[in-house]
Amino acid sequence: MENAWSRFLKNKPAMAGLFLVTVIALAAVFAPYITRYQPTEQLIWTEGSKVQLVPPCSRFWFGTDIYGRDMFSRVVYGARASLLIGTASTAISLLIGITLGALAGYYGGVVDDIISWLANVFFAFPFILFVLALVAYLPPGLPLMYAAIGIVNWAGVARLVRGQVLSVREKEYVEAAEALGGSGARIIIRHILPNIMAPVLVQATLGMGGIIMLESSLSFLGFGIQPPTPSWGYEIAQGRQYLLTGAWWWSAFPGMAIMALVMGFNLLGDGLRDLLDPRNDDAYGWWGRG
Amino acid sequence: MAIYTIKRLLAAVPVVIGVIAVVFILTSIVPGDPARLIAGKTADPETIQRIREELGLNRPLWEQFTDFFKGVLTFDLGRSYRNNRPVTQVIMERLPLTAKLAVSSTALAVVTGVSLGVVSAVKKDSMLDHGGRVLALLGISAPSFWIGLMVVLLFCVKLRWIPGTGTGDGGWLYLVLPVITLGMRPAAFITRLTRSGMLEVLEQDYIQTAWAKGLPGRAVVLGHALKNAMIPVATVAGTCMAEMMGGAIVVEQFFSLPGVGRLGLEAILARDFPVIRGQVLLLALVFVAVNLLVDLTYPLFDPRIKYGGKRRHE
Repeated sequence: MENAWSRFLKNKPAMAGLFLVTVIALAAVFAPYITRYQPTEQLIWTEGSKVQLVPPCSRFWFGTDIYGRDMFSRVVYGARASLLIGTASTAISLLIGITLGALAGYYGGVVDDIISWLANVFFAFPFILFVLALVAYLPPGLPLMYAAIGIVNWAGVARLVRGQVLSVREKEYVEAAEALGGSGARIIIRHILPNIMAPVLVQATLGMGGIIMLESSLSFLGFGIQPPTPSWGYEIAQGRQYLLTGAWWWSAFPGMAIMALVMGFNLLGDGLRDLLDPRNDDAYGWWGRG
Repeated sequence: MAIYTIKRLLAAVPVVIGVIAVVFILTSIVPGDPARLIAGKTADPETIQRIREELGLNRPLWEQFTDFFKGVLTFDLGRSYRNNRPVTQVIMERLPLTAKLAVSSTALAVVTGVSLGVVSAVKKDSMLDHGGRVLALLGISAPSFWIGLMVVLLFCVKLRWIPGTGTGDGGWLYLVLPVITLGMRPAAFITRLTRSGMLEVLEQDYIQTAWAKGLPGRAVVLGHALKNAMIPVATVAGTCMAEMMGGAIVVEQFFSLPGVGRLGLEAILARDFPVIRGQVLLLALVFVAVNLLVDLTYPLFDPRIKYGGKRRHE
């Protein structure tokens, strides 16, 4: 393990990814301490007019928007929404995907047929339309959005876990556990899952980028986090209207923030794959469903 | 090959039935009464009830599903709640634009992605390789609407070469920016995939033999190596195209293009369930068809893959 860790430390792209994700996560957590203004605060000059569309300067690093809000504060606080949705939705998709994938792989037969059929149905579904419909029709609120995105992504996890379980279920240690009379659930949880988690962790890390991108697309279309709570996708949509007037900073900085975070997760996931799952060196994970 | 195709088509039937069932259940259980939406806010209860009866919404869910299913088999997907026109007609009007967008973007992605990937692999660790990898990383990490903004800023505002949004007279010029925007991410992905595939193939013995025989570089790289690195590229290009047919919502909305994606968004907002059901069904069929077509292209790249017959060179 020490050898693996030192290999990870030597992997420059992976370290760059870890750095990006850590910096953005720390900024999100300590947002009140590193920003000068509240993200929803409409700033006013001393003579009484709004601090509208001020270009980046020493006081407003990322400029201000049309409502006089500091863009640096909005970008930093916006990281909270992206990371929260990325983490929560990934957790939901892992929970559903690991459970169903493990059941399909371990029990086989009809259980496998039904779960694989369900996964194929979800793969054939136009996913963004599905998420949009869920988000549009369900009552507004973050937990439902996590669930909607998580539900869409379970099929990929289930397919991966099913394949992994199939490859280890015939191993001697599983047979030994069965011979000792262990229940199916116990064998899956205690013996199989710990041995197949490496590729799942890699896929989850790579999938985070896709989920963050999906959330920003929803917010861009006006279906995501509701204003005035800052969200990167919504900021880009708002700033787009002022792009032609020269106020590039309103859209540019949130866009760069999305890129930095998605890039961070992609690089980190790649590094983890080299470390934990070196046999599987394809790049499918980067595509995700975002 | 024919038997394999028929088997695959038969295997897709339960998947399509599943898609129909899921979309029907979802659109039936969502809160909000379409009859009330159609009737308007000031409508009296009698009018709303009459519309419900006209649309068949007062009948048991099971009956509605059976009718819908029968309709699918006869290509009758019902009528749009918004304008009372046949759903198939509404979708077919929007389909050519989205298809044009998806095919062009995929072609752009494959041409640029494969070219960059090959150059990157052949010139490994050179400045060209590093540049290609950084470009691929940036392309994969940027959301499509942000890429759209940047290309509009560059080509419309700074250079003033191309018109911004809309379809104008329907000419190709209006599709240039959406195609670039939509194709950028798959292009970056294909670059990466081609590079890693080529690096693996270039180390194989038969490539060394080809070099040793004194074959020209172009013949070795393009004739021998690239062909064998193309299977994952074909898979990804197919998946991208199938997803673009349904997932170009953001780009279509961004560039104000009246395609299928935008139709879906409008239908969701208006609770036009027949259109949503029709669209999901159509896109699921496209997904199944494109995946099948991609599988059928594999023997072109690797003759050892032969459907419905014995494997060669095993």
